[in-house]
Amino acid sequence: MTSQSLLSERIKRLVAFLASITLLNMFLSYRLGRTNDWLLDVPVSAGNWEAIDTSLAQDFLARLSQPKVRGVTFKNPLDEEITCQLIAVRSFESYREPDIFFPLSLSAQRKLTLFGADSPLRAWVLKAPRGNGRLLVYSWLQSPSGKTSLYGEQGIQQGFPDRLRLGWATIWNKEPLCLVRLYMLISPADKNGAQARRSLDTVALSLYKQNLGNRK
Amino acid sequence: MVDIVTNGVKNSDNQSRKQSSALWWLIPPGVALAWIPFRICSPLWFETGSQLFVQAWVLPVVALLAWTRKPDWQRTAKELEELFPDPRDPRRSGNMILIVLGCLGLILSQIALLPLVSILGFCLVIIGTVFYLFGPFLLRSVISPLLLLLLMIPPPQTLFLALLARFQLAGATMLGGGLDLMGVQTRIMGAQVTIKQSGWQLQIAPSLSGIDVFLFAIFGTVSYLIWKRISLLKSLLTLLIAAFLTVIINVFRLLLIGLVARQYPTVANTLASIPALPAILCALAAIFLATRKLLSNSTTLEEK
Repeated sequence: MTSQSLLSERIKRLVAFLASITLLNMFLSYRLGRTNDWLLDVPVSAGNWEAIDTSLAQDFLARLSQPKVRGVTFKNPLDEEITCQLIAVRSFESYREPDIFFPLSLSAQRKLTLFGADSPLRAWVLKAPRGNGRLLVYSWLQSPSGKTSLYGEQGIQQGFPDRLRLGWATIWNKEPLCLVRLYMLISPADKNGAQARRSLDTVALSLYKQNLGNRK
Repeated sequence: MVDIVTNGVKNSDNQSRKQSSALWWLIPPGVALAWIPFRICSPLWFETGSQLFVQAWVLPVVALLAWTRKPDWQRTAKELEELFPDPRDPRRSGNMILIVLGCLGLILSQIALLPLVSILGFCLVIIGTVFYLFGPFLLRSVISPLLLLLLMIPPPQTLFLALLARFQLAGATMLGGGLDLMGVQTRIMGAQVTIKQSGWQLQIAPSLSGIDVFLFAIFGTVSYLIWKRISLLKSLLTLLIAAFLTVIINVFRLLLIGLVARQYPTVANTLASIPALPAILCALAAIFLATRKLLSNSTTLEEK
């Protein structure tokens, strides 16, 4: 076998291999990007909480790789606020936490079954390093059929296995997913956070029920 | 006799033409695979005010540097053909292990969106392709330009931000100190310098920190050293000179803005908003002039 024919044979083999990898990547790219435009409908009010549309900061959106988003602030007559972020998850970057979470440390984390036993959501309490500022966060992923799921194990820091698991799950997901994040400050008078939890429960339930079996 | 020689030359020309035309087939899948790291990393390179824009230049510069090794490549190929006539000899061809590993990295990076893994995978595919098709000896003749591809790896964000903050603080300190030496009284607060007399303030933003000038100058110098195949010791010395000159040029740039601000604050604000390109060109020219003698008298690796 001459040098030329051996090289040609190797090039053919290599082109075939690289072409198959390219096809696989095109498939992955299509699966990862196909379900990224669905957001939950937000109720006009939830109990005595009124929904007001607010825009999310541009640099935060840039860090999320510019997904489709909606920001809503729920306000009650006592001027307390619940921040709601709805993000159509496009890539792992869409799961990045807002800036307000960064100086805080995770104090407690629980899986709640507010929407039913098979529809979990994650609740975290984040604590300021100094002082007694605390933030209660609810977050979950919801699909148009009303199914919810959790993401990430530690809440704030997500490493390589989380990235891989989320990417893998997105590839095989049949439905689009919307990331819902609700958070509010726990008042210093609310020692065990029961009041904050009641407020977030009301808004979370209202959001969940509004979108049961609803696909747009 | 003349006919035999002419035919031999024609055959060899035909062979190399056939080889090059066969290599064209690698371009479509190659471009499609290169798109993965580019898609993942381009937001880091091209976002407004990005200090990592230099990484977008790495691939074309590496291609150019590899092309400059063509005579070396042809000579080595000829020698290998004479020494090891069997084309299956392991010194004339390699295996696909690096390509497979690189492709695995590219697939992983696609799923988990990891810039580091995507660039590493891409580098492995390129180096692995040369190894697989031409063997370790020919790979060695282009390995130094190809290793430059690793400069496309995005630095860890925390490390880069810490370095950026250092550059900003150092820039503010040097500007404040320089203006004080010239009799302009200043006040420094973090990365902000205020001229006491007029109250004019300059925030040493990332674009003024000089980190982009520094990165471009170092990358330009490394590319030049690889092109000229300078020995390691002289390369290190040249890099030290390059780093020093870049810092000096950035201090001059800041001082110029500060001095203009004394009389014409509006002009100084305009100067502060000018992109780093003139400073980069000045830095590259200064490095070239300062190291010309050092590098021209050197014995290159090629000569050795």
